[in-house]
Amino acid sequence: MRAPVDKNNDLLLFTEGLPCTQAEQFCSECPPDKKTKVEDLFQFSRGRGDVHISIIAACLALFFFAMFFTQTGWDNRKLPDGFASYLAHQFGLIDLDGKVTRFGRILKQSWVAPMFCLTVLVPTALWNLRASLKEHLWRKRFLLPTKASFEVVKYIEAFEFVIYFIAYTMLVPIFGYLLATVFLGVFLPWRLGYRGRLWLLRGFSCSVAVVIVFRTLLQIKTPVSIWLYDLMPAPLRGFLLTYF
Amino acid sequence: MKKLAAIAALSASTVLSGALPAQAEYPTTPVQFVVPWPPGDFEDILTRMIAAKMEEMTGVSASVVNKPGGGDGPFPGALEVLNGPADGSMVGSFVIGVPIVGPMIDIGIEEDSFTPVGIFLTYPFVLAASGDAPYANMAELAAHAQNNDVVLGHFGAGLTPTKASFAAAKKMGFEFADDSAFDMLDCNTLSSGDADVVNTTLALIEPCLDEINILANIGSEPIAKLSGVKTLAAQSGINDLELWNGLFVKKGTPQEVIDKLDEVAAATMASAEAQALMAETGARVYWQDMAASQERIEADRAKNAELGAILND
Amino acid sequence: MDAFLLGLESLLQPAVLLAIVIGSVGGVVIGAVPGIGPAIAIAILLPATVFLDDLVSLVLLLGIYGSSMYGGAIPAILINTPGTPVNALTTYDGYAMTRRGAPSRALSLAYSASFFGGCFSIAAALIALFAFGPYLRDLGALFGQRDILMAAILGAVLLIAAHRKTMVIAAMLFGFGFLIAMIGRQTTRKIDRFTFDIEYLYSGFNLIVVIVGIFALSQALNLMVGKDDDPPEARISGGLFTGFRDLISNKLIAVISACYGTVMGIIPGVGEFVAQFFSYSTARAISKDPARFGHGSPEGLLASETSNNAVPAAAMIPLLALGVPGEALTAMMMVVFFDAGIKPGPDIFDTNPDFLFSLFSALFLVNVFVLITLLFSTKFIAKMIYIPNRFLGAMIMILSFVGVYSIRNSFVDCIFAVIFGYIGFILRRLNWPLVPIVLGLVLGSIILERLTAGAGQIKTALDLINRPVSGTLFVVILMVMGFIIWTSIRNRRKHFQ
Repeated sequence: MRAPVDKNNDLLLFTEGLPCTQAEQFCSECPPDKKTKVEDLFQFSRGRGDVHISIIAACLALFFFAMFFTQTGWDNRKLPDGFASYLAHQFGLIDLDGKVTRFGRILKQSWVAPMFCLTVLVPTALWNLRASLKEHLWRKRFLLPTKASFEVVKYIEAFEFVIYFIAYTMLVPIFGYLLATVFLGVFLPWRLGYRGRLWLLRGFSCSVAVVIVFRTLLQIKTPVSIWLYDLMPAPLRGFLLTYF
Repeated sequence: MKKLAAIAALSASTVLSGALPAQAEYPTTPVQFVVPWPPGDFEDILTRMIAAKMEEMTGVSASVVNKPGGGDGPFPGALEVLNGPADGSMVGSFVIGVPIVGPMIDIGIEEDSFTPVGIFLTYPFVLAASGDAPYANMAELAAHAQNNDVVLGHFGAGLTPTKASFAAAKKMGFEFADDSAFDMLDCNTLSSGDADVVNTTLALIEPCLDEINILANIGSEPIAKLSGVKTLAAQSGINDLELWNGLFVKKGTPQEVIDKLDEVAAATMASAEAQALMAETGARVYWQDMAASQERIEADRAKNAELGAILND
Repeated sequence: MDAFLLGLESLLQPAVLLAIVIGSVGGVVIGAVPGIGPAIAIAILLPATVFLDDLVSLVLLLGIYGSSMYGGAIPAILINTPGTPVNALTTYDGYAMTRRGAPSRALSLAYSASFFGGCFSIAAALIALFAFGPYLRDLGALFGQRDILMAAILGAVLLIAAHRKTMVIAAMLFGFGFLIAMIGRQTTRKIDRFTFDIEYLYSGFNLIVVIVGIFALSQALNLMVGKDDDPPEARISGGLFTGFRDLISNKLIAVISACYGTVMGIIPGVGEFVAQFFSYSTARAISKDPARFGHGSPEGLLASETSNNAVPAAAMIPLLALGVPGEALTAMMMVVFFDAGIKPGPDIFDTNPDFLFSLFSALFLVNVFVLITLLFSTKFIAKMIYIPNRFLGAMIMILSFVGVYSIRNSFVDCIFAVIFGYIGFILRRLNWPLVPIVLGLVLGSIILERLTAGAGQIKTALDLINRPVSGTLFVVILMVMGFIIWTSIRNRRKHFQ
């Protein structure tokens, strides 16, 4: 869209004669920012790892489709006999004698909504997979990079923090909300590379502030049986349970 | 030095124990009253009065939490109380369906899962139809339903008032063409035509009371406010099983919790506010303690079985 | 008029006023910090609001929503990084102005434009609700279960249509969201969907768990795994009052943009992005100086800031009038409505007119308070931009636990929240949209509920659409789907590059 920007010399852009033409709807003299590229908001290109996740999504959709027949009450369905003629009657095409089952009674059954959901989910998942595969094969054909190893590394890194969160959740019933939060609030910044006393202090004070605002003031529910508090003498225990 | 430390410790503990309620006396932690319905109805209003009274009488924070179960009625909320601790920090405000119908459906509630603290409310449950319906009482409805489709709206198929309506229909020789479970049945349900006949409480249709036909009320006595409306039992010949709401705690809760709740609730029901509610709305507000409630629950189990027998014939 | 006075009375309580203050200042800070946005803040605070009074919680959340766009303009203008994604277009002309040495002019223009946009849509909403409200009550009889069902389906279809290049992905994610909404067992109704006999799944997935996971925890993971930015120093000098003059000299564009924002806010599924783009394009088309757009044109800045602030108040309208939320943030606020006992829907005007008035007046006060605060403390708030990303991520993670556990006292809920967080993280890295999953969950549960409640009166399939409102909405749904199909066929002709 525009000529590449020379980061060191961007004083050059401080002139009126810019590569921004009238024909382009949205453009600016400012260097494209790092977080949201505005032109990207209405464009979409499949990134690395897209193929892999699309495959997983399609498998999930097909899994639910397979499970539909046993897990949604489909095996207990009550449909009138001669369903084709029933449907025709419903849309006003033919007339049936005798008592016709009300359509609502069919709609109320447990499998109807999953059926509608799967008619949206499965085709779109498969269509998405097709588009993703097409893009992937196109990139391979043109010898463009397709390795997703960087993404996979990021996924694994994120997983580490998931473990920390789960560990935190498990620590709360043991040490109480205040202590567990302070542990996490000081450990995480340290793990993320923020060393030094000032950062420790910041982590500590932020986590204490969170505890005070949410637990002490707003009285958010936290686990009621806490091992550490149970070791305390009675009046202190009540106080800690209520406010921390 | 040691003496000073001892005095300091003694005074500290005195101060602490003076500042906080003693460990043994309930309540020490915040109390939550679980109402398994959307807010606004009678049980919600009265339970909020009880919570306010509890705060007033004990100084501990007491709040009401609504946990509507959607189409599943009060059962999800009841299960939450069942899965909570048995120390009086979670108190359920349940309708008759929970102790009576709960054990009959396979969701984990047994006959003794909950201990009643007391029963305090009888709902002014009614069967209502919109003003331009061609029937004004059950007999006319029966006649109309022979040749026309009438759809019933209710709060859940397993609930007592719903069963009473179906049993009454069967006894009177007609059938509802179809029925739907709703989360909320109010004036809009009737005026928009989502149901022809609704099975709901008077509070919810209060705003349009003048424009609708009340066919019957479900209870042991007619409601004073509604002149000319007879009970469902009188019109159809089924028993007069009433819909009531009571306070329940999980089985195993200490007796002193129950006694304290009893005290608070009895005081609430006797208050001017609660009695005014009764006079204005047709609900019956009273207090039956644990023993009386247990007796009543047993009697109602039998009545419920009777209704079940009618439906299964 | 009683409603007016009653509403005013409930507004002037200390708790509500405190909520206005916290909501405004908090919202500005949240908007200003580029790692967090209103979605994350609302997701985290949502469970906490159960413990607060209803008007207070709604004012707090709405305050954060309404003021975050004010704050988002600050980094957009000063360091070319939008604080919230909806401030993206502000960077174009705002940062250009900064580079020309007039950051305070840009800031004051952004503030006054936002204020104008916000007030415009609040006034429009109030007029609409109070002028049409009484008629809406009468129209309430037209809105039964089947009609709201159609409205929810229409919302879903519009949402998918709004994701122009990623429609298939949006539809697929909507399907997943709907699937999640369906999981659960209701024995009294003989409903059992996908529970695999696992007890935890009997009550289904709680909306808040999914929201906190998909919005908050995913961003926490995203920030912690990414890099810290090194934003350049920004200096603001000079008064912040000059922008008002620019606003007044460009009245027409301001009004047009505000109208765009209001209309786009009302239509479910559309939202701030589209509003911004439309108003920017229109402003450029009718401007006397279109060449300056992108180089520091006050009209461009005005257009983008006015329209994005006009959306919040308008987005409340479909929620209040129909009970169908149009986008993720209002969907989250719907939870607060239910907790408060306020049933959004056509008869809200009947049941809670004073509440409506308090809500919108509170939103107006938020705007006023934010404007005053910003005029005097922009420098301080601008410092917030420099909170390092990864530290922010850590704090978000801590805050998320608070909300998730307190919903049902369930440890498993926390596990699922972080699982959804991980899924959201993967979606963010792929640039896939997150909103369809959440709206799939919300609109899906509305669709399910209305379908089963309305099924009683459905004798034949045509009964679904033979009512005036549901019939009209069904036709609109068909038209939108036709449009979707037509554009995707057209796009297939253009090969991807």
